[in-house]
Amino acid sequence: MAAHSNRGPDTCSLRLTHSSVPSFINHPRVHGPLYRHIKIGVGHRLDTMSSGVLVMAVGNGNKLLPEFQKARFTRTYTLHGRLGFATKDFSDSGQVIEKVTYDHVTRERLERVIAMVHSSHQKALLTYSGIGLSSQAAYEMAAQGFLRPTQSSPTLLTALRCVHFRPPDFTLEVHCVNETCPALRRIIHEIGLELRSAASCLLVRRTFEQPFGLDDALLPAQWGLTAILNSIQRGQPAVTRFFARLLSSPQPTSEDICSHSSTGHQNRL
Amino acid sequence: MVTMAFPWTRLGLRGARCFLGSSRATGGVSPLGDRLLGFGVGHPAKGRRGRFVTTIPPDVGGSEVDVASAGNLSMLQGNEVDNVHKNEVEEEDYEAEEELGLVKTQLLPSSASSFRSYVGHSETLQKLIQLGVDLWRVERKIPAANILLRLSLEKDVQPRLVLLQSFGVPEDRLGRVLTRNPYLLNPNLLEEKLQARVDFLLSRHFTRETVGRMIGAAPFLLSLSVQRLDNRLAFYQNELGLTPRQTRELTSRLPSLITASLAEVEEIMKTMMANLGFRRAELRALVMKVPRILLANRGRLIRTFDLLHNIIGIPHHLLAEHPQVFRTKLQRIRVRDAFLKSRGLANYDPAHPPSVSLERFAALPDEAFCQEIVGATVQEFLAFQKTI
Repeated sequence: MAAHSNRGPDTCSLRLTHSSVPSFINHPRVHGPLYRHIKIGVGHRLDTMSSGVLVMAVGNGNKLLPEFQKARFTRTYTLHGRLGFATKDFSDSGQVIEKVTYDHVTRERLERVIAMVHSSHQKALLTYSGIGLSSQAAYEMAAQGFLRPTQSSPTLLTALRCVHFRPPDFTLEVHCVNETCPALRRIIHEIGLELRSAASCLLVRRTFEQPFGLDDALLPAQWGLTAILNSIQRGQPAVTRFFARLLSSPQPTSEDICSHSSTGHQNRL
Repeated sequence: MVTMAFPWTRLGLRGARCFLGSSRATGGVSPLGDRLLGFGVGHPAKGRRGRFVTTIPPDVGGSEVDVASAGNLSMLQGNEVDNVHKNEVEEEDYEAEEELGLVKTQLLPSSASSFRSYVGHSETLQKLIQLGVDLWRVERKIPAANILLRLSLEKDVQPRLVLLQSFGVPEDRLGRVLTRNPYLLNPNLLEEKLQARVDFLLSRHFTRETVGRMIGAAPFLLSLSVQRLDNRLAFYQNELGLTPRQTRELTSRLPSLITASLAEVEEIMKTMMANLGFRRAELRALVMKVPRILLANRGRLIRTFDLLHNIIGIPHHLLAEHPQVFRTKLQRIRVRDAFLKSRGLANYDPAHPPSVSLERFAALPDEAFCQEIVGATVQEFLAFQKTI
């Protein structure tokens, strides 16, 4: 640091300039790694037996995560089920409680049971959305599919369909809200019961979590700095649109949205 | 400059913990007299906040503040502030402030949990850095940090480096060795003891070059006494039923077996024989092929075996022949097996060709695996992984 002093008639002023001198303090072997703790958060968790899309936030992006949760957008899952046995934790790796035949199960039967499950969830959705059952508003929202629970609720399916049926295996695609993976497995189990057979869930796989889908997801083999940074950049417009949609409903605000969200793909172990 | 008549008062004001720490480390009397220093400046890195008791490194002495030796800008500013302040302050107030640590009369900070405060002033530390010692790692070990600060380049460090090189430690490994085991620089650890340990290994017919390599790979080796080294070599020989030559081969390939926790290694061996059902001869063959299995995480080992044997259905003799699979990530095994199954190629038994060699299954990188074994592109493989 250099100092230049001007002696004026009344005052003594000091003008300081600085210059860098190489110092051992800046040596990497002295200060060590520069980044030791990177905050990484997850949007909605998947348990270890499930696979699929995980929205993750890095650093400042973590502040956006509560907004994602509050929005209560639906998530899309593929549920792989198998007929013939029921287990304690409703998954294929649990303790088997029951073994039942499934020859009588046809696709038509399955579709009927699915419709029944769907309608019961619709009713529950109406209850939890806090809108009077016999109002025009309720009808319109339900018709357009905008019903969402206002408070915390059990797992609610907003849409449900069978995409594959080849006994004993079948696959369902569901859209749900406030879900947990064990609850989704339980739904498979209950479908088995309704079919007068037994079913367990082989796999719960999330394919879409607003605003990211399978295509955006990075597999563990791809988890590297460049890939993650690229993913964050690619996801930027989607996240901005997401928040624009969020904010456009009740009160639009002019906040500057800067996101650091990326997507990971988890494979079950 | 006001002399520091009695530093204990200052330490006392900093808190009782300070005081206790310093006396414990130096036994009450420091070789450098009254320049005992105290405790803990905050470190930006989280984790163990160590504190070390230091004395001023011998090669720094009592020199004046040097503006050109950079870094301690705050100290410079502190001094300037003090200069201005002094004119306005009376004698008694000055002493009070000195007790509170407002006046910096020392060259070095009186407390540190990091080497950064000292590195600019100590030639020993600078030479160690140039050698390749990671000071940021060493400072986590408080006693080691204390030792390093008290070292003299000519008296302690250089003779010890010469000694290590005479043991056969490669020059480019010296930094790594001293980072992992800075206690090798401890003057209390006598040369004769270190020499005795190396001589013991040489007497067990390890070559000098091998010993040097072993120290380079497992620096704590030299901190084990001859008795313990003997015990540990005997442990592997007895438990696995190895010949002396095999023991030498095993421990020279993976020297950290000697410095590892033997209780944990024994646990792994018992798990493999009792829980996983490997015979002793199979375990021996397994370990000679992939010694690192003995240092594996027990839970992960069991899960990997469960996946390979119970779910995929690979028998014991194949697993013993190709133990690399135990070192493979669970994810990789599962995903690759699922991909092979989807193509109808998931046969690992060489008795029924066409089969996939387990070694290649585990070890090949993704591109090679896809091209050579499956005949698909990596993109197809990645796309497949998103469906399971």
